[in-house]
Amino acid sequence: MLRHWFRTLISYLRLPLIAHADRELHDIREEIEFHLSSSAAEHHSEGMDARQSQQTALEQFGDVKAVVDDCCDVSLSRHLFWHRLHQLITLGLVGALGWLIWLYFPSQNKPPSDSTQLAASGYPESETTGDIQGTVVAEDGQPLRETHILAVVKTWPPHGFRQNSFTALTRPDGTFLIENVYPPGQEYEVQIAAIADAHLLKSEYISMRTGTLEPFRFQLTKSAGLVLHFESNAGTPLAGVSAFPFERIDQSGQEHCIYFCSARPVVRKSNTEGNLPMPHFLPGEQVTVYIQFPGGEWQTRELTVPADKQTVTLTPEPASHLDDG
Amino acid sequence: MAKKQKADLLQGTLDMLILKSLLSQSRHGYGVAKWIQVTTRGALEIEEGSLYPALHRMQKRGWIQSEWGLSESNRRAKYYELTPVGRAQLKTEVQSWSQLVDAISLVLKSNLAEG
Repeated sequence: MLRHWFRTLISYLRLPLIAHADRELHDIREEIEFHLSSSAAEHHSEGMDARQSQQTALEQFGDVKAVVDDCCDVSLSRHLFWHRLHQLITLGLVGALGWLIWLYFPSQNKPPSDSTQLAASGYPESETTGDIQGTVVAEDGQPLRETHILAVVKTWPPHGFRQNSFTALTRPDGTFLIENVYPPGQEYEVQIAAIADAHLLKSEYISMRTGTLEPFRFQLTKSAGLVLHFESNAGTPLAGVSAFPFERIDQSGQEHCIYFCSARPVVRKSNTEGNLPMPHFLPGEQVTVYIQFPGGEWQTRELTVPADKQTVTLTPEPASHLDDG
Repeated sequence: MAKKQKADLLQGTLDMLILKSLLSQSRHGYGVAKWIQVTTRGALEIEEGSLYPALHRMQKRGWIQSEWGLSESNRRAKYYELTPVGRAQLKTEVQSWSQLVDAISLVLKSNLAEG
């Protein structure tokens, strides 16, 4: 029985129903023509003339058209099961395809739901739950209020790298909090700087890690009262020159810096006398500052904080006398 | 000359006769009709038109299978042959037929005794 089913399946697959009907009709006609001609030949051999032989063969056979129709019906019904199955599978596939399209396109057009909305980290907001918090105190342990906290968070979401800056000011008790800025379950890095008037710039760098950050604690020591003096190459004081401290290396060799992208809150401009206080360094330190003359591009200047005086003069030309002040 | 009396084919016996005709060798439709005619010495002459739908129906049921070949007259003809399923079916039909004949014989003998 299985062989029979298999044979009809193969027959159907070779020639599906529509083409099969034509071939079957042709075969049945040929089969009946053979029967009639054989019958007529026998009658002819018995002495009938050719015309009479054919006539007798036809009469004995009966209604040729009805027989052909009957045979076709029977033959095609052999393939009807496979035809119905074929139709069912096709219908199922079309339905499945339609369902997939329906499933795919609405999700393309729909705005992302709250749970899947991406945070600045490049990860969903629901995953970006890490806070940056800490305390800033002075040398004597007293809290330092209104200290600028400049943080940069680096993340590596799928298909990219993100670097976002966040800023805050310390509260009267010296604490600060920046909420929901990194994904504790993913890898991230944090660079954070604390900068307060009359205190040394300090920063920390947290290398790639996962998990929740412990609160930071910055103890800022008093600095020297360095002033940058800007003047033109002709010696005229320049007002409106922007600057911020970029980097200092302390006596132990540790670097403290502010990332350019997070520096906006601490950018200051020179006054009409061309002076800009930058009280975040110690005498003798190698430091780098970012400066921007009016109409010019941001540039860095490396200089050594003089030990004997509090003013460093800078001109637009990055000449050798830059550090001579 | 007296016309030879021909018996009507009982309903359902055509399949059995066709199966029997194919038991020894494969035949085309005309060959099946001729075999029945010759074997029964002309007593049973099947309606030729009814032979082909029966052959196709039996093929659908898997009792027989067909293949195109060349006839004695070197013409293309469709040959039918018995399948294992068809052999089993023939056996069943012959048993049923024998039981029917026995039953009818009993009835006829009974009538003869009474008469």
